[in-house]
Amino acid sequence: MTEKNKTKLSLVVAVFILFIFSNNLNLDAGSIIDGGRNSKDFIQEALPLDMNVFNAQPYPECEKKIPFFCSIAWLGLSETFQMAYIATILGFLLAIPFSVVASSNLNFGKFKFVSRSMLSFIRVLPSLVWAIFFVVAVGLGPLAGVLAMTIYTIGFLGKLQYEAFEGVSNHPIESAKAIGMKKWQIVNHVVFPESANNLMSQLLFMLEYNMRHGAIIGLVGAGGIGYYLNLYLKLGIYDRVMSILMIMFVSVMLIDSISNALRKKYFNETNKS
Amino acid sequence: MSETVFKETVLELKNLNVGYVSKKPILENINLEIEKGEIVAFVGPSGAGKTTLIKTIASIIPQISGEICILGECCADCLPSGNIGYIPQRLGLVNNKTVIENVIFGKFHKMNFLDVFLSNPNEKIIKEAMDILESLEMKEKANEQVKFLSGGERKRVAVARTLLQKPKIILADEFLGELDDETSISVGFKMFNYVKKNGSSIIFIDHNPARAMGVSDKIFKVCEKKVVKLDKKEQNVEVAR
Repeated sequence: MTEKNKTKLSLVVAVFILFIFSNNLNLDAGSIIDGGRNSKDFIQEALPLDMNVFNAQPYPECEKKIPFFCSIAWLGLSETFQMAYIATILGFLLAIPFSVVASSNLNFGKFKFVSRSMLSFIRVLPSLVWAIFFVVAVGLGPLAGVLAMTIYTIGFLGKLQYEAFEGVSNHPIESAKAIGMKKWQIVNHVVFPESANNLMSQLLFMLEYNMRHGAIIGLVGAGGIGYYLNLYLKLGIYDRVMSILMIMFVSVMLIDSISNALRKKYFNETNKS
Repeated sequence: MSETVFKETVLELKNLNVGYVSKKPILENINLEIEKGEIVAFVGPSGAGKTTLIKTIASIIPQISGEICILGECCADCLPSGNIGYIPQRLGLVNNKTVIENVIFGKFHKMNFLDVFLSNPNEKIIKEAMDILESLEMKEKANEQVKFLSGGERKRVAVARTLLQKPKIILADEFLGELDDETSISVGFKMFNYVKKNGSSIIFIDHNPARAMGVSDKIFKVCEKKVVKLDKKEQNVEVAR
């Protein structure tokens, strides 16, 4: 068989498998056409956007001078940002001991395996699943969201951190060892400063990530702007749903730009060397 | 004969085998003694195992077998102590710290827990560090980050760190290489002067046999899995090659 025929046969087999799988999953082309019609209805109901989300809520009575600070947009977004901020900082700090022990160049023996296994286990479950777990454990509200995002941040940042530590050159570590510096001194005075740029970059990335996920985990009752999104979806008030989606989109874009600007400035300075 | 009675051995290697894989030693059955105040050079071709030997003496790599005796204390699996100063080939400086912060690492083994944690040395240590930097013409750059320094300046920082440490044995891996002759002479002079003045010893690796012969009391050739002491005639032959 020539190469050309082999390629044709592979293509036929791939398409055949596609049909089998589609049949197994009952993927109905009619539903897609219906879906298009439903989407059109949704967009018609969702537009124009309901700007009331920027006005003060009727209840409880707004005691602030600027009514915007009593609006759903501000309350939801500020709660999500605060949750993301707390979870990122706590997760970052709590991940450090795990990542130090997990770094292969710092020689913590069997503890390295234990630490890496724990970090992997945490990462197996997405933050949404952790949020469901904590909503059951501590009840509805921001605490469940903060706990879920903190735990996930430990798993996620822990891995990035130990990879950054492993990327530190062996030469300063070796010369510190030879001087007689203890392991904690090497970590504190050699490994942390040498990987500081990476750690900062990871921290900013995680803040963005948690901001996006902070909105999502609100869907299961873990507080933040996701709570309002879930509420209006259930009530079928789609113009408000769309307004909240737009607020989330703009805020994530904003944080993304700030974080990019900070990262650019930070790395440009260090790259001067 | 009477002279040898007063000599003090600071480093002794007994039947030492070194390498990264126990079944494949890079150097075998090394036996040598270094006396107090001696300047010793290791010469030999690239890849012969000079750096591996130095790292083993500095307790960075565990030896395969044999003993390393430092100041009379012999051990099969030694832990590093403040008695050894080590200048690796790539200097081992922390790029994101300042010159003075790097130099003060040399005194960490003599500082208390809190001062080390906060990187807060006392006035005496700072003065001592600044004096050493001044002698190496680096005082003006004390507060600059190491990553902004030139190759020669970085080398002087590494030397300053070792001089502040005041180790009994200095291990230097090609610390005179890559410097222009004038700077080599100046940095080398400071280092060797310190050794003679303080009764320390230095083992250095050099690819330039003429330079090594000019400054050292003993030369060892590292080649074909062996460490062989060269006498004066052989040293001349080596240079002639």
